[in-house]
Amino acid sequence: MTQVCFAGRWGRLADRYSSRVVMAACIPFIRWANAGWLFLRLPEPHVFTLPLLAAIQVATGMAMSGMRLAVANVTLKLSPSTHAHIYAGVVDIVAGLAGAIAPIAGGWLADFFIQQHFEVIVSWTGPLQSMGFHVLSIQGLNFVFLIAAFCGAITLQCLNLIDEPGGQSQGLDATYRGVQPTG
Amino acid sequence: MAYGVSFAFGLALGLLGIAAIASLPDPPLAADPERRGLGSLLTLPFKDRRFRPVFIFVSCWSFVNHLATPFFIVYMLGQLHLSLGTTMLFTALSQ
Repeated sequence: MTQVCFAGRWGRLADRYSSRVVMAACIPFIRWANAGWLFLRLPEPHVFTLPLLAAIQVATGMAMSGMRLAVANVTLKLSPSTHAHIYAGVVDIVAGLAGAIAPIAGGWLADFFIQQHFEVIVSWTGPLQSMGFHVLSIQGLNFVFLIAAFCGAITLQCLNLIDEPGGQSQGLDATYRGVQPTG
Repeated sequence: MAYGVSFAFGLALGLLGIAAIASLPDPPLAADPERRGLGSLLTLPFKDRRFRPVFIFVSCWSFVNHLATPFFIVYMLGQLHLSLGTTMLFTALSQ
């Protein structure tokens, strides 16, 4: 639902600035959404679990629509017109291979971290009463979400390598750290 | 039975999608003046120095995206103890 609603807005932004700007705006959303999964259980589901999950899903959908659009745009912009279909196809093959390896790696990581547990507890002890609550409780799959959020930073850096023709990204580059003007 | 009906419904919509795509106008592609073979065509983008960063970015992005995404539904069902209906509702929200 979110992707349908936001695709047009990202399209207008890509037309006005560049696809790199759209990607630079979307990747942090994905990173924060991945990090948000860490707070859904503390260590059990809590009163904010469902509202937070809804916010995460909206942010993910919003960013995914922008990324799909921008990746396709950049591919077509950088492809020679006579071979654009070949270039787009090979990009999909490469993305597919990386996308096939990733869940296997994620599964291995989840298996490795299944017995590990990291938690941050804030507690107050007084003469009359003591209280404490979890601020963070990371276990099993949470570690995979955390690693994915960190890896998002590498993706953002890789964006600097792309030299998009006709991109007017310099105005917004200062807003999104990590994206350096090209050329 | 319920899953079977869902899969059949998905298949029917998929076939409808193929029919819809087939009806789209499809301008013919420009002929390759050098008449390369398939292998040569598939390696062509890798020889393009300006295009290589796109591969680095796309493979990185695809890896990061698929590292966590397949486990979201597993997490909702197994860790958050949500029902299948609620899980699908949240999944649809991000589509």
